[in-house]
Amino acid sequence: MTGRPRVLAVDDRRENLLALQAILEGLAVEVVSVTSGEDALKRLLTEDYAVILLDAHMPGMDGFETAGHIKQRERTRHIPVLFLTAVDYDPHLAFRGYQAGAVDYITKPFDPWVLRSKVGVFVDLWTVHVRLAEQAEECDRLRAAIDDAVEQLEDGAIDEARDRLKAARD
Amino acid sequence: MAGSLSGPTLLRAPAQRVTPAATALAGATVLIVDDDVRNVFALTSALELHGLTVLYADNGAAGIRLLTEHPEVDVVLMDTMMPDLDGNETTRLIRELPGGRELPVVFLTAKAMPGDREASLAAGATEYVTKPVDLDELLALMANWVTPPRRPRRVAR
Repeated sequence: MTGRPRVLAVDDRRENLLALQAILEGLAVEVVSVTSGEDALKRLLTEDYAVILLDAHMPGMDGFETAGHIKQRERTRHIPVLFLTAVDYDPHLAFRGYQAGAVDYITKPFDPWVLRSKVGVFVDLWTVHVRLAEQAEECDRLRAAIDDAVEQLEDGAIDEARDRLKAARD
Repeated sequence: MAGSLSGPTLLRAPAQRVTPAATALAGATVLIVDDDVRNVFALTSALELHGLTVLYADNGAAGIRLLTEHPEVDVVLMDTMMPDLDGNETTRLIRELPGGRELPVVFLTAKAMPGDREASLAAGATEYVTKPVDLDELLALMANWVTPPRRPRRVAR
Protein backbone atom coordinates (compact mmCIF):
# COMPACT_ATOMS: atom_id res chain seq x y z
CA MET A 1 0.00 0.00 0.00
CA THR A 2 1.27 3.46 -0.84
CA GLY A 3 1.27 5.38 2.43
CA ARG A 4 -1.78 6.78 4.16
CA PRO A 5 -5.13 6.88 2.38
CA ARG A 6 -5.71 10.34 0.94
CA VAL A 7 -8.84 12.43 1.43
CA LEU A 8 -9.42 15.23 -1.07
CA ALA A 9 -11.14 18.27 0.45
CA VAL A 10 -12.50 20.75 -2.08
CA ASP A 11 -13.89 24.12 -0.97
CA ASP A 12 -13.34 27.66 -2.23
CA ARG A 13 -13.28 28.96 1.35
CA ARG A 14 -10.07 28.33 3.23
CA GLU A 15 -11.76 28.54 6.63
CA ASN A 16 -13.97 25.62 5.63
CA LEU A 17 -10.92 23.62 4.58
CA LEU A 18 -9.29 24.34 7.92
CA ALA A 19 -12.44 23.17 9.68
CA LEU A 20 -12.42 19.92 7.66
CA GLN A 21 -8.76 19.38 8.53
CA ALA A 22 -9.63 19.78 12.21
CA ILE A 23 -12.61 17.43 11.97
CA LEU A 24 -10.52 14.69 10.34
CA GLU A 25 -7.56 15.16 12.66
CA GLY A 26 -6.59 11.88 14.28
CA LEU A 27 -7.88 9.68 11.47
CA ALA A 28 -5.05 7.83 9.75
CA VAL A 29 -5.47 9.82 6.55
CA GLU A 30 -3.65 12.50 4.59
CA VAL A 31 -6.01 15.39 3.92
CA VAL A 32 -5.22 17.22 0.68
CA SER A 33 -7.02 20.57 0.43
CA VAL A 34 -7.74 22.44 -2.79
CA THR A 35 -9.84 25.55 -3.41
CA SER A 36 -11.45 24.80 -6.77
CA GLY A 37 -13.00 22.06 -8.86
CA GLU A 38 -10.24 22.55 -11.44
CA ASP A 39 -7.54 21.94 -8.85
CA ALA A 40 -9.43 18.89 -7.59
CA LEU A 41 -9.34 17.35 -11.08
CA LYS A 42 -5.63 18.15 -11.36
CA ARG A 43 -4.91 16.30 -8.12
CA LEU A 44 -7.03 13.35 -9.29
CA LEU A 45 -4.94 13.13 -12.46
CA THR A 46 -1.78 12.53 -10.45
CA GLU A 47 -2.82 10.78 -7.22
CA ASP A 48 -5.30 8.20 -5.94
CA TYR A 49 -7.85 9.17 -3.32
CA ALA A 50 -10.00 7.20 -0.88
CA VAL A 51 -12.74 9.82 -0.41
CA ILE A 52 -13.65 13.23 -1.85
CA LEU A 53 -15.34 15.94 0.23
CA LEU A 54 -16.80 18.34 -2.28
CA ASP A 55 -18.33 21.76 -1.72
CA ALA A 56 -21.35 21.99 -4.01
CA HIS A 57 -21.17 25.74 -4.57
CA MET A 58 -17.93 27.15 -5.89
CA PRO A 59 -17.16 29.81 -8.48
CA GLY A 60 -15.96 28.46 -11.81
CA MET A 61 -16.34 24.71 -11.89
CA ASP A 62 -18.89 23.91 -9.16
CA GLY A 63 -19.20 20.69 -7.21
CA PHE A 64 -21.79 19.18 -9.53
CA GLU A 65 -19.65 19.64 -12.63
CA THR A 66 -16.56 18.42 -10.78
CA ALA A 67 -18.39 15.27 -9.68
CA GLY A 68 -19.61 14.78 -13.25
CA HIS A 69 -16.03 14.71 -14.55
CA ILE A 70 -14.93 12.41 -11.74
CA LYS A 71 -17.74 9.96 -12.46
CA GLN A 72 -16.97 9.85 -16.18
CA ARG A 73 -13.41 8.62 -15.71
CA GLU A 74 -13.02 4.91 -15.11
CA ARG A 75 -10.08 5.38 -12.77
CA THR A 76 -11.91 7.84 -10.48
CA ARG A 77 -15.57 6.98 -10.79
CA HIS A 78 -15.50 4.57 -7.85
CA ILE A 79 -14.18 7.16 -5.40
CA PRO A 80 -16.97 8.04 -2.96
CA VAL A 81 -17.97 11.70 -3.25
CA LEU A 82 -19.60 13.40 -0.24
CA PHE A 83 -21.19 16.71 -1.08
CA LEU A 84 -21.03 19.43 1.54
CA THR A 85 -23.22 22.45 1.15
CA ALA A 86 -23.96 25.58 3.14
CA VAL A 87 -27.23 26.20 1.37
CA ASP A 88 -30.40 25.28 3.27
CA TYR A 89 -31.51 21.82 2.33
CA ASP A 90 -33.05 21.87 -1.11
CA PRO A 91 -34.35 18.48 -2.26
CA HIS A 92 -33.72 19.43 -5.86
CA LEU A 93 -30.04 20.21 -5.23
CA ALA A 94 -29.64 17.08 -3.15
CA PHE A 95 -31.14 15.16 -6.06
CA ARG A 96 -28.62 16.78 -8.41
CA GLY A 97 -25.87 15.73 -6.05
CA TYR A 98 -26.99 12.11 -5.95
CA GLN A 99 -27.55 12.17 -9.69
CA ALA A 100 -23.95 13.28 -10.09
CA GLY A 101 -22.94 10.11 -8.27
CA ALA A 102 -22.59 11.33 -4.69
CA VAL A 103 -22.78 8.79 -1.85
CA ASP A 104 -23.95 11.52 0.52
CA TYR A 105 -25.21 15.07 0.48
CA ILE A 106 -24.55 16.82 3.75
CA THR A 107 -26.00 20.21 4.65
CA LYS A 108 -24.25 22.60 7.01
CA PRO A 109 -24.29 22.92 9.87
CA PHE A 110 -23.49 19.25 10.38
CA ASP A 111 -22.24 17.27 13.35
CA PRO A 112 -18.44 16.95 12.92
CA TRP A 113 -18.56 13.47 14.41
CA VAL A 114 -21.03 12.30 11.81
CA LEU A 115 -18.76 13.46 8.98
CA ARG A 116 -15.71 11.99 10.66
CA SER A 117 -17.44 8.61 11.05
CA LYS A 118 -18.58 8.57 7.45
CA VAL A 119 -15.10 9.39 6.17
CA GLY A 120 -13.71 6.68 8.45
CA VAL A 121 -16.05 4.09 6.94
CA PHE A 122 -15.08 4.96 3.37
CA VAL A 123 -11.39 5.01 4.22
CA ASP A 124 -11.72 1.51 5.73
CA LEU A 125 -13.50 0.30 2.60
CA TRP A 126 -10.75 1.78 0.44
CA THR A 127 -8.08 0.06 2.49
CA VAL A 128 -9.80 -3.30 2.05
CA HIS A 129 -10.19 -2.61 -1.66
CA VAL A 130 -6.49 -1.82 -2.09
CA ARG A 131 -5.52 -4.97 -0.21
CA LEU A 132 -7.83 -7.05 -2.42
CA ALA A 133 -6.34 -5.52 -5.54
CA GLU A 134 -2.83 -6.32 -4.28
CA GLN A 135 -3.83 -9.91 -3.57
CA ALA A 136 -5.43 -10.29 -7.00
CA GLU A 137 -2.18 -9.06 -8.55
CA GLU A 138 -0.19 -11.52 -6.46
CA CYS A 139 -2.54 -14.34 -7.57
CA ASP A 140 -2.02 -13.44 -11.22
CA ARG A 141 1.74 -13.38 -10.75
CA LEU A 142 1.81 -16.79 -9.03
CA ARG A 143 -0.55 -18.30 -11.59
CA ALA A 144 1.69 -17.11 -14.43
CA ALA A 145 4.69 -18.70 -12.71
CA ILE A 146 2.83 -21.98 -12.25
CA ASP A 147 1.79 -22.03 -15.91
CA ASP A 148 5.38 -21.40 -16.99
CA ALA A 149 6.74 -24.04 -14.60
CA VAL A 150 4.25 -26.68 -15.77
CA GLU A 151 5.26 -26.00 -19.35
CA GLN A 152 8.94 -26.26 -18.42
CA LEU A 153 8.32 -29.54 -16.53
CA GLU A 154 6.55 -30.98 -19.56
CA ASP A 155 9.71 -30.19 -21.53
CA GLY A 156 11.76 -31.89 -18.81
CA ALA A 157 13.44 -28.65 -17.73
CA ILE A 158 13.27 -29.30 -14.00
CA ASP A 159 15.89 -26.76 -12.93
CA GLU A 160 14.29 -23.96 -14.91
CA ALA A 161 10.88 -24.80 -13.47
CA ARG A 162 12.29 -24.74 -9.95
CA ASP A 163 14.00 -21.38 -10.58
CA ARG A 164 10.82 -19.93 -12.05
CA LEU A 165 8.78 -20.96 -9.02
CA LYS A 166 11.41 -19.76 -6.56
CA ALA A 167 11.61 -16.40 -8.31
CA ALA A 168 7.83 -16.04 -8.09
CA ARG A 169 7.82 -16.91 -4.40
CA ASP A 170 10.51 -14.35 -3.44
CA MET B 1 -26.12 11.21 -15.87
CA ALA B 2 -23.22 11.46 -18.28
CA GLY B 3 -23.66 14.11 -20.89
CA SER B 4 -25.84 16.46 -18.88
CA LEU B 5 -22.83 17.45 -16.82
CA SER B 6 -20.08 17.50 -19.37
CA GLY B 7 -18.41 20.80 -20.08
CA PRO B 8 -17.01 21.79 -23.43
CA THR B 9 -15.17 18.74 -24.54
CA LEU B 10 -12.23 18.07 -26.71
CA LEU B 11 -13.49 14.77 -27.97
CA ARG B 12 -15.88 14.29 -30.82
CA ALA B 13 -16.08 10.52 -30.83
CA PRO B 14 -16.83 8.20 -27.93
CA ALA B 15 -13.72 6.37 -26.87
CA GLN B 16 -14.72 2.76 -26.86
CA ARG B 17 -13.90 1.36 -30.28
CA VAL B 18 -10.79 -0.75 -30.61
CA THR B 19 -8.72 0.32 -33.56
CA PRO B 20 -5.35 -1.14 -34.58
CA ALA B 21 -3.72 2.10 -33.46
CA ALA B 22 -5.32 1.79 -30.03
CA THR B 23 -4.07 -1.78 -29.70
CA ALA B 24 -0.55 -0.74 -30.66
CA LEU B 25 -0.59 1.93 -27.99
CA ALA B 26 -1.75 -0.22 -25.06
CA GLY B 27 0.92 -0.04 -22.37
CA ALA B 28 2.46 3.16 -23.70
CA THR B 29 3.03 6.17 -21.45
CA VAL B 30 1.88 9.60 -22.53
CA LEU B 31 2.65 12.93 -20.91
CA ILE B 32 -0.03 15.61 -21.32
CA VAL B 33 1.05 19.21 -20.81
CA ASP B 34 -2.04 21.43 -20.84
CA ASP B 35 -3.52 23.95 -18.42
CA ASP B 36 -7.16 23.30 -19.40
CA VAL B 37 -8.02 20.54 -16.97
CA ARG B 38 -11.54 19.95 -18.34
CA ASN B 39 -10.14 18.85 -21.66
CA VAL B 40 -7.30 16.92 -20.10
CA PHE B 41 -9.62 14.98 -17.82
CA ALA B 42 -11.81 13.85 -20.72
CA LEU B 43 -8.81 13.01 -22.89
CA THR B 44 -7.12 11.15 -20.03
CA SER B 45 -10.21 9.00 -19.42
CA ALA B 46 -10.30 8.07 -23.09
CA LEU B 47 -6.58 7.27 -23.28
CA GLU B 48 -6.72 5.21 -20.07
CA LEU B 49 -9.59 3.17 -21.50
CA HIS B 50 -7.20 2.25 -24.31
CA GLY B 51 -4.60 1.01 -21.86
CA LEU B 52 -2.28 4.01 -21.90
CA THR B 53 -0.68 5.40 -18.78
CA VAL B 54 -1.16 9.14 -18.54
CA LEU B 55 1.12 11.56 -16.75
CA TYR B 56 -0.06 15.12 -16.36
CA ALA B 57 1.46 18.55 -15.96
CA ASP B 58 -0.51 21.82 -16.05
CA ASN B 59 2.49 23.92 -17.10
CA GLY B 60 5.64 23.63 -19.19
CA ALA B 61 8.15 23.66 -16.33
CA ALA B 62 6.31 20.85 -14.50
CA GLY B 63 6.13 18.93 -17.78
CA ILE B 64 9.88 19.09 -18.22
CA ARG B 65 10.42 18.01 -14.63
CA LEU B 66 8.12 15.00 -15.16
CA LEU B 67 10.03 14.06 -18.31
CA THR B 68 13.34 14.03 -16.48
CA GLU B 69 11.78 11.84 -13.76
CA HIS B 70 9.97 9.48 -16.16
CA PRO B 71 12.22 8.21 -18.95
CA GLU B 72 9.44 5.75 -19.88
CA VAL B 73 7.37 8.50 -21.54
CA ASP B 74 6.72 7.45 -25.16
CA VAL B 75 4.93 10.51 -26.46
CA VAL B 76 4.01 14.03 -25.31
CA LEU B 77 0.71 15.81 -26.02
CA MET B 78 1.40 19.54 -25.80
CA ASP B 79 -0.99 22.45 -25.52
CA THR B 80 0.25 25.51 -27.39
CA MET B 81 -1.16 28.28 -25.25
CA MET B 82 -0.07 28.20 -21.64
CA PRO B 83 0.93 30.98 -19.27
CA ASP B 84 4.69 31.37 -18.64
CA LEU B 85 6.35 28.70 -20.78
CA ASP B 86 4.17 28.16 -23.84
CA GLY B 87 4.13 24.97 -25.89
CA ASN B 88 6.82 26.14 -28.28
CA GLU B 89 9.26 27.18 -25.56
CA THR B 90 8.58 23.99 -23.61
CA THR B 91 9.26 21.90 -26.71
CA ARG B 92 12.52 23.73 -27.39
CA LEU B 93 13.63 22.84 -23.87
CA ILE B 94 12.51 19.20 -24.30
CA ARG B 95 14.64 18.97 -27.44
CA GLU B 96 17.67 19.87 -25.34
CA LEU B 97 17.05 17.11 -22.76
CA PRO B 98 19.16 13.96 -23.02
CA GLY B 99 17.27 11.83 -25.53
CA GLY B 100 14.62 14.52 -25.91
CA ARG B 101 15.51 15.08 -29.53
CA GLU B 102 13.69 11.94 -30.73
CA LEU B 103 10.71 12.14 -28.36
CA PRO B 104 7.44 12.59 -30.31
CA VAL B 105 5.75 15.84 -29.24
CA VAL B 106 2.22 16.21 -30.65
CA PHE B 107 0.76 19.71 -30.46
CA LEU B 108 -2.92 20.15 -29.70
CA THR B 109 -4.16 23.63 -30.37
CA ALA B 110 -7.54 25.33 -29.99
CA LYS B 111 -7.04 28.51 -31.99
CA ALA B 112 -4.61 28.25 -34.85
CA MET B 113 -3.56 31.53 -36.43
CA PRO B 114 -1.68 31.67 -39.73
CA GLY B 115 1.98 30.96 -39.06
CA ASP B 116 1.36 29.18 -35.71
CA ARG B 117 1.85 25.76 -37.21
CA GLU B 118 5.15 26.74 -38.81
CA ALA B 119 6.35 28.32 -35.56
CA SER B 120 5.55 25.15 -33.59
CA LEU B 121 7.18 22.88 -36.15
CA ALA B 122 10.25 25.13 -36.05
CA ALA B 123 10.25 24.81 -32.25
CA GLY B 124 10.42 21.03 -32.64
CA ALA B 125 6.79 19.85 -32.79
CA THR B 126 6.44 16.39 -34.34
CA GLU B 127 2.79 16.86 -35.30
CA TYR B 128 0.33 19.72 -35.10
CA VAL B 129 -3.37 18.92 -34.51
CA THR B 130 -6.25 21.39 -34.16
CA LYS B 131 -8.99 20.91 -31.54
CA PRO B 132 -11.56 19.47 -31.35
CA VAL B 133 -9.49 16.36 -31.72
CA ASP B 134 -10.96 13.17 -33.11
CA LEU B 135 -9.80 10.47 -30.72
CA ASP B 136 -9.30 7.77 -33.36
CA GLU B 137 -7.24 10.15 -35.48
CA LEU B 138 -5.16 11.14 -32.49
CA LEU B 139 -4.54 7.50 -31.55
CA ALA B 140 -3.57 6.62 -35.12
CA LEU B 141 -1.19 9.53 -35.23
CA MET B 142 0.36 8.66 -31.87
CA ALA B 143 0.74 5.02 -32.91
CA ASN B 144 2.75 6.19 -35.93
CA TRP B 145 5.33 7.71 -33.63
CA VAL B 146 5.39 5.19 -30.81
CA THR B 147 7.47 2.17 -31.72
CA PRO B 148 6.18 -1.12 -30.27
CA PRO B 149 9.18 -2.38 -28.25
CA ARG B 150 8.90 0.18 -25.53
CA ARG B 151 12.17 0.37 -23.73
CA PRO B 152 13.11 3.54 -21.93
CA ARG B 153 14.74 5.43 -24.74
CA ARG B 154 16.12 7.99 -22.42
CA VAL B 155 18.16 7.76 -19.29
CA ALA B 156 16.81 9.34 -16.12
CA ARG B 157 19.09 11.92 -14.70
